[in-house]
Amino acid sequence: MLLGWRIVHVKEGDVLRLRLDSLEVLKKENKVYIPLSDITMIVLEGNRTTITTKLLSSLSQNNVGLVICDDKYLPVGIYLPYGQYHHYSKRVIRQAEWTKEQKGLIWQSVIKQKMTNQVDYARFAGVDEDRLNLMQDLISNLLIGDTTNREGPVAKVYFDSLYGKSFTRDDENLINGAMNFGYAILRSCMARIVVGNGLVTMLGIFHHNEFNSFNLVDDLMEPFRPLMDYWVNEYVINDKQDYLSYEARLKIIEFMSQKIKIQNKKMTIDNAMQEYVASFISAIDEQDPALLVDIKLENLIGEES
Amino acid sequence: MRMLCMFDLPVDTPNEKRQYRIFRKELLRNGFTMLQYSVYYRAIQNRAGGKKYEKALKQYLPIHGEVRLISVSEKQFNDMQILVGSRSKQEELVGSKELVCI
Repeated sequence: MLLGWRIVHVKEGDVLRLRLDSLEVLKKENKVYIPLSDITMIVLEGNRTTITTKLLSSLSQNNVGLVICDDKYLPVGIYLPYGQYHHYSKRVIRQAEWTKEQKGLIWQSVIKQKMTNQVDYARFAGVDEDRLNLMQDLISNLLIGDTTNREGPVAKVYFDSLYGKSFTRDDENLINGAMNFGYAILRSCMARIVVGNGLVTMLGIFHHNEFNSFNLVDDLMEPFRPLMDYWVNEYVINDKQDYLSYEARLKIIEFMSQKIKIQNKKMTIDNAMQEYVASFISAIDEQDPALLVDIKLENLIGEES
Repeated sequence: MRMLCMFDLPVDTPNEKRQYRIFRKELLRNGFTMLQYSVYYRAIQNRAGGKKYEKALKQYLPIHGEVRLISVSEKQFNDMQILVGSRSKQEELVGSKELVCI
């Protein structure tokens, strides 16, 4: 179990280095210390920050993820621990041997959770009943492995209903900017947890793009996407802004420490992801999708701290 | 919640000085920060989470002197009045925040 509970966002630091198992951030004449064992993720922005190799190696040992952003503040790179999990080879060999049946069976549950959350969020956002029914109909004949691709049409109806028919995910606007940022944060957090559990990120259960190193991460973050949509629309987007401000970016990152109920226990989204991945491993190994923890939007709404 | 460690350690002999240095370094290594001289604190998630640090410190206790440990809630800690002096940058920026922005 990974016990970190802090996310560190460094906007314009001068130097990041290690000091007695703590992260030391130097900024002008100020020094700030944060114990590494508390940290789950560090997000770095700005162009002038220096970071030491000693710190990087300690980040690995403590399973801390490091996200690096570009000039437009979008995450462009992740630094992940390598080989820190104690049973690494055994788990990867098993992962490589997952059969098509195993993967299909779990994918059906994973993607169903996502689509159900999409319907729930659309309902919350006041989308018409017939649109919701349309989505529900599509979900109801979901097959093992989603071989008939229900995911795509549901997503289409979902985004059209929320943002209008002319909306595409490729447009450059605040909604897409916020979503891209939010998904990138989700992806980085999930990548860190996947690696922390000794799985490799390339071997997915559904995603199998040969150019993507994060197929499994993209699979497992699916149910969390509509939760992020909810968060972004509820707390980040407003009429006064047309770009992704510093405050808006911080607000998006705060999503990771919101509380959600998982099997009647309240925990942060970050810890929920940890539980999710752990349950995913037993579910796929024992071919029992019922073992997969249920990520539900309704367990987030009203529970936010 | 916060765990506070308060100590008074003799530093008369070289051996006592050594034990003091080792103990203080161990405090820092476990994420404690100085509130004022001989008073250190650490943000913890809950009492169970604090056990880990209690155990770690117990391994490096000096023989003489006095060391005390207490955990207080976030509310109680923040109710602490500062009669002279002010909060450090460290307290303001890091404290017990889940999202630390620097």
